Amino acid sequence: MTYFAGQPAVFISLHDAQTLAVDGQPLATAIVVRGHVATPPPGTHVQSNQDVFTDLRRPMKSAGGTIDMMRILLWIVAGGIIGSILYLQAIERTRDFAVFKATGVTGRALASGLAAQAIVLALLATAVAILLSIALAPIMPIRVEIPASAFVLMPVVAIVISVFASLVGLRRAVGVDPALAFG
Amino acid sequence: MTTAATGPLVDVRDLGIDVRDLVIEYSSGGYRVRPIDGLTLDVSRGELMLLLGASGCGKTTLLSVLAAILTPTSGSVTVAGVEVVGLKGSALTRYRRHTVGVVFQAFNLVPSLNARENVMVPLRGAGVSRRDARARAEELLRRVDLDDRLRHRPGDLSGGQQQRVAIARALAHDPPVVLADEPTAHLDYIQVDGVLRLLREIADEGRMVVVATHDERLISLADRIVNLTPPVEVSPRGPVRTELAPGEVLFRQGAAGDLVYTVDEGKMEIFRERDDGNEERLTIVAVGNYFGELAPMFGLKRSASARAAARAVVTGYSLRDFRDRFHVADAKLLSQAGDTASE
Repeated sequence: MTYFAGQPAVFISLHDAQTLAVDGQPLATAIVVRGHVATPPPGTHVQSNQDVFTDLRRPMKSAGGTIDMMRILLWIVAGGIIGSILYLQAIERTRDFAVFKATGVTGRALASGLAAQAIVLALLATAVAILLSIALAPIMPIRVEIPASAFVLMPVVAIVISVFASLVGLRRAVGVDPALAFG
Repeated sequence: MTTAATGPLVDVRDLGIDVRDLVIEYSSGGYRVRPIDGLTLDVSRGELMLLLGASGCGKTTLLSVLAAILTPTSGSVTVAGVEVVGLKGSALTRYRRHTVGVVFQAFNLVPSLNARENVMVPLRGAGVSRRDARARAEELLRRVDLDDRLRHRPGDLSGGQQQRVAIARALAHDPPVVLADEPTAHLDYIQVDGVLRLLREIADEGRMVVVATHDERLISLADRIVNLTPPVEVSPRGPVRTELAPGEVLFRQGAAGDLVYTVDEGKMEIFRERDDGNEERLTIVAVGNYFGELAPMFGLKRSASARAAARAVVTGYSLRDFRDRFHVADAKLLSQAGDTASE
């Protein structure tokens, strides 16, 4: 039996537990019973299995919140990286884009090509992330469960974020003056 | 490639380039610049026309207009039956794809793509399938004798080979007009040979080729030469004495100029006209000094205007006459230009 996301549990006698935890005084924090308790002893109240389950997850709540925040931050960082790559490319390749436009490549075709690059980049990163999560989950110190829906949702979120992140770079590339090709 | 308007079918390749009263004016550094002022020219099928002239005379600017990249201030430009001025949207894209091919000065190949892929760029951009684009690119690279360099990137090609790739790219859509901006600028004399031969050949195939260049080696190659720099007056002629009322303008910024002026009486004001309509005084030239020497020395247009600050009398000399009379060498003229009466 484990709880706290897989933390191991040790079973010892009540006497040893009282000696270790409460200086040998005749105290207990919980009494586990089978069946139905009609009248609980004074000073106690009854909790169902579900209540206990929820109560045991309480210490993990803040850890879960931290992971959720990290996840959002990492999506923002990922979007920033993709946006930066696209923007730097738009700056570095200004002359190339000017030549493309001067030779009749439309702004729409240019934007589509760059957006496709951003999407491919995001999907490759997603594939690496999925493989890493599958490989690393079993060796994590606590149990990590990745729902199947995450493998479907992640590429979709990655595509949306990468396209949004690359908008500034796209706009710059599309707005390049083809006259620069003559410069 | 034909156009069916109201009359019989006409091959647009039979229609030439027709430029009428072209004026191009733009703002540069706060000043209004008019490199081309009232230009009229035409080019026929199979002709190779050379645009010669000093830097800044408008050669590349004219190519930009012919390539529908720059909109002129006024005038009309008809290329292969298409009125270029005012082209927009899909008509502009169609024109850039199918009517003109451009060879840029610095090759402008994409460094990360190999020769074949560089030629494929305009084709893929126009929606041609990868397979067809590849076949066409290979055909064109064979045409420019680079079929053994298909997979070489620009960095692995010589300047002449890069320029030939650029020419192949310009021919991707088989346009009736090819524009080349300083195609020999980065080439040594061995590399130049292949590029010149190629330009002549593509004109002989029935295209109109317009080349902007400083390179006079191209002159023997051309069917027609247009010099965009006004010829420098070299023959001496008698001095021209001019009396000016206060505020009267002697010459204007942007005008051609073949005389150097000395101030005999009064004072002359040299000023620039800004693009916001204001004027910027550069200097006042007093009696005994000269001004206006740069335009005749270098065949440039006047870069500033001159007017009488008070009642003034000036005498204009041709450059040779001025040198002979005042024994002033060009270097001396230049060194004094900043101190006295630079335009």
